[in-house]
Amino acid sequence: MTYGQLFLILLAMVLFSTIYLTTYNSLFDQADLAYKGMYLLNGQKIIDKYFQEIEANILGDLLSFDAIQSTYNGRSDSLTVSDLVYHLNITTTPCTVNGVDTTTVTPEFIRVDMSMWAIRPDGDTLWIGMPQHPISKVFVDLYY
Amino acid sequence: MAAILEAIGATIIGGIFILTMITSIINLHAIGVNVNQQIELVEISEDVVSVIESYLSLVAAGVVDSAIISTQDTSFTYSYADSVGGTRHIVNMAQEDIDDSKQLSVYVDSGTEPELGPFELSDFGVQFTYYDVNDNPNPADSLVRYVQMIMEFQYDTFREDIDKRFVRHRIQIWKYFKNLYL
Repeated sequence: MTYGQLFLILLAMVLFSTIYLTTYNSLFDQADLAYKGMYLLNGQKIIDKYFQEIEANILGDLLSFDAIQSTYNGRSDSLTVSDLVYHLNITTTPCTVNGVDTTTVTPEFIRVDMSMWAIRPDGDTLWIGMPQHPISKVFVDLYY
Repeated sequence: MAAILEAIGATIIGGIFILTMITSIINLHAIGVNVNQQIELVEISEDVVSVIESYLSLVAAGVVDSAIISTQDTSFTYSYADSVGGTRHIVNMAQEDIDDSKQLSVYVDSGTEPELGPFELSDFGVQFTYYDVNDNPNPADSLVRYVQMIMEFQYDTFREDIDKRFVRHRIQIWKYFKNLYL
């Protein structure tokens, strides 16, 4: 076997490895998307839980509207789902029916903003609603 | 003689090389299929959970008392009515063991065929935890105000010998029974 032939074999192996690695990398990207979807879905469900809790408190008149604002404004919680810890931050703001901020002392509506983050097993931080772009819902005072 | 030995050597090396390529392609295919199944499972479980949530929204609708009939770790039975004081329906969400695998089914009015499901679950199955208005777990049935439901969906693996792992997705939801807060 000549050196030329050996070189060609080595070149073929290097080329094949490149294709192999690229394909593997694409698969890892796909897997990453799948896991991201799972974490996002679980995060959304946690946020939905808190929205439901606030709604139930309003419906059942368990907390006054003022108390809801003070209880939930600035509240932070951590919840573990499938071994991943989700950190939630909630803020409340008096607003109009369209969710625009107001300075009314006794508002008829409040906007609840939620943002959440979690450290994924690979060390990356996953945001579900960011502080600048939170997941929001407007609540009305049924007994206004 | 040397030429024959060289030809044999080249054939062996080439053969190993081709075998490696084929094995790699099969491995990639197996992993690709599993990843694809994982993505599909996330989408399917999201759809299933949405429908389950719509069923849970009915808890105690139009029913004045005894809306929650049974609260077990792996099953939940409740009632709702078509209208206030109207025809009462009973819904049972239960984990079943069919052919040694756990499945989730939803039955309405004690029917023999599930209205929803069965959906294949992993060994974990489904787990209901009930809470009262003060977030205390496992209260008496009459005091239940919301439920936490954890379920793990599962797909079979692509092949038994390559990348053998079941494709799973555990999802956790909470459902507040708004009709019980009114």
